[in-house]
Order: sequence, then structure tokens, then C-alpha cells
Amino acid sequence: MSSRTIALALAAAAGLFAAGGNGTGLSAQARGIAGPGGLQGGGDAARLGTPGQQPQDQADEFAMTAERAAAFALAQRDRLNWVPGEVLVKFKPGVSLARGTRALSALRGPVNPREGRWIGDVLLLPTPGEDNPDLASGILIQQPEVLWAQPNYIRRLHATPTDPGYASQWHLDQINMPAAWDINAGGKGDVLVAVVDSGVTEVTRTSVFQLWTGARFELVPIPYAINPDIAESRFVNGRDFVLYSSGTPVLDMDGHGTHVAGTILQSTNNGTGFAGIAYNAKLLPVKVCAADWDWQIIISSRGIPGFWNEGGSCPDDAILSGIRYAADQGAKVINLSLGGPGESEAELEALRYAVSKGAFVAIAAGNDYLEGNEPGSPARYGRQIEGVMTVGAVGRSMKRAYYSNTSSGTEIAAPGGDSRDGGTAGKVFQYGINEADYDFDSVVKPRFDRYTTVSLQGTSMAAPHVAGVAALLYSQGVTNPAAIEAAIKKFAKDLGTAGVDDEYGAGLVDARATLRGLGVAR
Amino acid sequence: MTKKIVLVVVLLLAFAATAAAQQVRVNHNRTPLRAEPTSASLVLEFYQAGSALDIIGRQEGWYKVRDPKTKVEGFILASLVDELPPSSTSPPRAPGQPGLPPSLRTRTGTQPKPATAPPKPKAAIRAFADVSSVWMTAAESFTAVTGSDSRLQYGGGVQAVNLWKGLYAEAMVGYSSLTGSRVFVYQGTVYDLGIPVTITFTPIDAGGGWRFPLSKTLHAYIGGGVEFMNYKEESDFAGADDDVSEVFTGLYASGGLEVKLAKWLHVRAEGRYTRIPDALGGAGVSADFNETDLGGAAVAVRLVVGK
Repeated sequence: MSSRTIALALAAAAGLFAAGGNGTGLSAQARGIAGPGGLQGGGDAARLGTPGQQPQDQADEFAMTAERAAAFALAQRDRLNWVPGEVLVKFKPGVSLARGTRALSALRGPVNPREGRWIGDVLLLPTPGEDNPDLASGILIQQPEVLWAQPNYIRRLHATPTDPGYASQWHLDQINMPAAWDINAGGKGDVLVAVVDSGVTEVTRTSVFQLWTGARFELVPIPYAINPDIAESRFVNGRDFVLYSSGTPVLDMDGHGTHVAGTILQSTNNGTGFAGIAYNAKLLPVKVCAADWDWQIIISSRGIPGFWNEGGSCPDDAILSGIRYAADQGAKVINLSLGGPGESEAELEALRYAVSKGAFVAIAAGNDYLEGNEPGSPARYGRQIEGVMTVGAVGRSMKRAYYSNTSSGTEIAAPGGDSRDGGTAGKVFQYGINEADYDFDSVVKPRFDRYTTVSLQGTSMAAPHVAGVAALLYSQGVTNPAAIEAAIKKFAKDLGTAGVDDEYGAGLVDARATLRGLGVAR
Repeated sequence: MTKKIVLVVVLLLAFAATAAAQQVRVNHNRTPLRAEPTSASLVLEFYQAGSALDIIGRQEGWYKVRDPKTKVEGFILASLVDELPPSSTSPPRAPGQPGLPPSLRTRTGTQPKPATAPPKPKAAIRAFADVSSVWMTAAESFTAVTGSDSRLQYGGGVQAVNLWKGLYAEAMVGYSSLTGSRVFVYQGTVYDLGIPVTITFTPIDAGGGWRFPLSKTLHAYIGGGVEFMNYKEESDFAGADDDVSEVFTGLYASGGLEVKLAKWLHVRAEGRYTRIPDALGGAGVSADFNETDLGGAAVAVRLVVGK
């Protein structure tokens, strides 16, 4: 990859989109293109609007250029953990733009910091002359002006999508939620929880997008709806850092963010859907992960025929932007159910920034136990920062879920579901977007406006249990993120080896004990 | 200095002389004191049997005497009186002295009081009420939960004093209550979780000590004993084993001053120190603060009723 240029990547991506298939089927295996191959560039084909209205040219709202989409496609296909041709750079304090530019000139090819994007004091820089960011950042870090440089890592969501089912939410009983709600009935509306994820749909509307439908492009109306189990009034204006530029609403086209948000704060005792933990808290949806359908809309809107089908991804620049944005908006709890291998200074700094702004962060430990169990990021930073907790998953029997990482500094355990421990009933249940409506393998014209029972499992599902308890604790007056972490650990039910261990950390979160605190003698 | 000593000696001698003055005792009622040593002379006064009069002279069957109270001098027929030896200690027996108010009757005799030991104090049972301000040893724990490291305790009990010399025994029951809320403590910061807690202390003390008289109305005392502290901690949203109701045993030492306000009423100002080890510190914030002692130092005011 190191010798590839972005042009090659684009060509490869174009080939990727054009490759295979006869264009007649709708299944994943049969997907392909029947139209002309190659990049068509520009945004004139993208449409966004509501039914009954004249579709307007909204292409410029997309944050993603065709080139960048192609780079992501390449990364996805080759299972790269970074975006080709991009680095994140932080200069030392006091370095001027001129000196910074000099440092960047050490890279091959033309590099202009003005073409980059600043995220706080971190620069997201395209490196057209060197698309391997490991090499590019390795060169940059040698420069005296540079504090650190790293690839723009791609993180992935830590859930395994599974079958819908109608089993009970055993996971809320497991952390003693019914008794915890007696103490604190869902928290208060002044606690803002940010779900930094695939988004949580914050508007009910139909948008018209140009989509590849197997043989041609069509303007397809796609309906979106707010989760009926989260009142619209509880949404605080979110932000999309992957699909759109600013000013457009957040839309979840994966279902992951919706499920995670549901566990944290879905309405409870309202006769609808399922229960959430901090059901009075406010929700800040921050979209940092693009799902298959996000990518499909991007490439189709750019006139690239074919289906994406490469999976979702969460670039570091969006994660960094999203965490900073959440903290700046006053979020007191941030949930990060995502991660990936390697270290990331950008994520570490973003986490430190969030805690410095008074936000507690819950991070999924990762689902790679059976795939090498390597320590991932940002999970690895939980133990480094008081106020950031890395959460492993347990199943119904309070045993570590088969997938839950143990080597990434797990600090606490929470129910994440385990299909090997009770089958579908052993997963985590929430009211979510009806998966059959947008199943990428079988649907060409998706819809995201129907909600039903969704069961998922993963450390992605465990982290929001901790985030929800943190939100309740915050509403009870424990406002220091480090104190929230200390309380959750202190009152955890010890599992596994006595004391702190790599499987369960301090143990299983116990919401009731945590919210109840201590008297003098007991 | 020498002059003072001499003066004291002289006074003592004079007192001794007075005390040793020879007297007669009247042995018939209505014995007349006459102005002259003759039965025809004027009667100055009549004396009842038992009255004592100072001899100031003798004259053929008559004594010249002086009434030690009225200082009236006259003559009394020798056959109507008995001469008393100079060191006589006979108590005066002169009820019914005419013309004298009762309060003066005791002055009939001028002999010094007999040199007996002061009366032995009798054992007595008393009841008391006690108000104490207690500063608890587990100060950080109680401050975190209740906002204060002190409590006001009301109590009552009984004392038995003068059991043997200054020895006394006592028993008391107290009661004190605090309210607060459950907390979480992190790096010295206390986070109030808003869950109400009620803590009650019901100590039962049994002990004793020694009283030292400092004056007729003031005693000092020092003592100690055993305290059985019934400690209860109850909070909202408690489960089966979440509340605490246990009796812990400790020791106390006390001391103070006792002032007699009236024959049956005394007030005590007392200092008390109680140690109840290993009652706390197993869980709760007391474990965080590593505080194990449920006792404390107290100042108390006691109103005691009884002799």
C-alpha cells in the first residue's frame, strides 16, 4: 500500500464499485453494477428533500468527497485500520504556521496545511504524495515542530447485529436497575448524554437521495423517524461528523447508535418499547460512524454506480471532532461503543479534553477476544484517565461474554449479552430501528422510520449500561468524572478473580449500590 | 507574728477561764434571786430547776451569782442550789426560762460543745437528668453523613452515693439522634446522594466512682464504667440487611464537680470520655476514613435530686 497514490486508490475504488455482479439481483452476492463504471465526480446527482417538495441539490452538504469515499472504500476492502492518504498532526505549542508548513514539507508530494482541517489544535492533513499514513506520520514525528503525528485511524462499532426478539431485559435486572430507579427515577433533564456513535435519528422526515438500485440511479425517498420511545423534546441538537457538513440533522442508518442510546435513556414506564436507564436525561446524538447506507448514499450521490457493502467505519478525525463537540456542548456523559487496534494520540487527547470539561466517558472494551484479543483504542486509555471507564461485557450468567476483550485494560463489567449464554434471550434488548427495513444484503430502498424490538450483543451494549448509571449518579450530585468512576468501581459486584482482574475489572456494575452510596457504618 | 501568737494564746486562755467558771445549778423550781443575802430582800428573778448560774461570791448560806445571759447579779440561798464542779460538762437543762426567747435558751449553758466526730454521711439514692454534648471520635465519618461531628444526648439515671465513704455507683440511659444523607466520598470531597439517613444512639452506662468533699456544698468526683451502646442507622431504600442495629460495648471515664443547690438538689458539671472500639470501620464511610471507634468526648450537665 505504501506506494499507492490516492489516484491509484481512487482507481481501485472505482474498480471495486464496478467489479463483479450482473446487476440483476438484490442479494449481497448478486449485487453489482449495470451502469457505466468509473468515477463521475461532482455532486450534481445528489438529491435531498422531502416528499412533495422539489428535490434540492444538497450534494455540497455532504462532508465526504468522492476521493475520500474511495479512500475509505479501499481501506474497508483491505481491512486497513486507517484512512489512506490522511494523517492527524499536532504541533508543539508556539509553532507558527510557517514553521509548521516547513515541517510538513518533509513529506513527499505537495502538502499544504491550508487544505487540512483543524479539529481543536489537531490538523487533519491530506497527504497526496504518501497514502500510507504510517510512513507519513513516521516522517512527521521526526520534525522538531511536531508534537505527535498519527494515521487517521478507522474504528468500528463493537456490536454484533442479531435477530430481533421479544425477550425480557434481563440486563437491567442484572445491574439492579429496578431498585436503583426507586432511588433515582431516571435522573434529571439537566444531564446531557452524548452518544458518539452511528447517530441517533433526531428528526422525523423523508429525505430523497440518489441511490444505485442495481441497474440505475433512482431518486429514492427514504423515511426517517425519531424513536417513539425517546421523546423529541429530549434531543439536543446533534452533529454529524461523517456524512454531512454542519447544519444537517443526525440520521442513524445503522441502528447501533439508536440501540446504545436506548439502553442509556430510552423512556421507561411509558407503555412503549423498552426501558432505558437514565430515562429523564437529555440526548446529544453525535454521528462519527458511517454505516453501509451512509456510504451508499455518498457514493451514489457522487454518481458512482454499484453497492458499497464494505461495512461501517468511524474515522479518528470524526471521533476526535465528535468527542470535543460533545464536551463543548456540555455533555456530562459520553458513550463510545467503538474502537480498533493500535494507539491513537488523537483519541487520548480527545478523552482528556472531555474529562477536563467535566464529562465522564464509557468505552466499550472491544469484541476481539476470539480474534487475537489485542488491546484496542480508545479502550486502552480507560485505565490511564480517571473519569474514563473501559467496559467489558458479561452474559446472563454473569460470566464474561465469549467475545469480550480481556487485554485492553477492562475496568468494569456490564451486561453486553452473550448468545452462547441463553441464545437470543441472552442478548441485550432495546427498541430500535426495524432491521429488516434496511438490511443491506436484501434491501435496495431502505427505510429507517419503523421501530421494533432489537437484540444485540457486544461490549457496545455493555458500555451504555455504565453510561446510564453514570448519568443517574451525576444527577444525584456526583459531578466529577473521576468520582463517578471511583463510585462505579467501589460499588461493583466483584466477579472472577478476587479484586480487579482483566476479565471483569472491578466487577459487575451495581446501579442500586452505586446510587445508594454509604452511611457511617454501612 | 509573735504578737499575733501571743494574742491568740491570751484569747484561748480567757476562753478557757470563762468555760471553767464555777457554777451552781438550781434544784428547785421558782427559786428566787434576791438583791440582798436575806429572804426579805427584793426578788430580782425566779429560776427553774436546772438553771445554771455563775458563782461570783459566797456569804453565809448564800451564793452571790450572776446570770450568764442577762448578767443580772444577786443572791441565792445555798440550800436551793447545788454547786457544780469547775469542769462540769453537764448540758444545760433550762427550759422555760422566763422572759427569754427560745433562741436564747440554748445559751443557758456556756460550756464548750462536746468534742464528738462529725456525723457520718448516710448512703442515699438519687435520680438525675443528664444533657451531654458529645464530640465523636469518628469525626470525619459523622461529619460526612450528618454534617457534624457532635451530637446532643439526653439521659437519665440513678446514683447511690456514700456507699462506703465517698464511693458511689450509677446507671444511666441516654438517647441521641442525628439525621443526614448517604454519601460518596472521593479524595476528600463528600458527595451528598440525597438519601435520608437517621442515626440513633441509645447508650446504657453502668459504673461508679469516688466523691471528695471540697466544702459543705461542693464535691469533686471521678469515676468510670461500662457503656453498652445501642447504635441504629436507618436509611431510605434500605434492603433486608442494609440498616444497622447493634449493641457495642465500651468503657467510659468521667469526672466533675457537684454543687449542692438545696438540701435535695445538686447540679453536676461533668466531663466524660468513652471508647467503643471496633464498632465502626467495617463498611460505610467509616471504612473509607478508617475510623473504628464509636465513642467520644462529652461535657454534661446533670441535675441530681436526692440527699
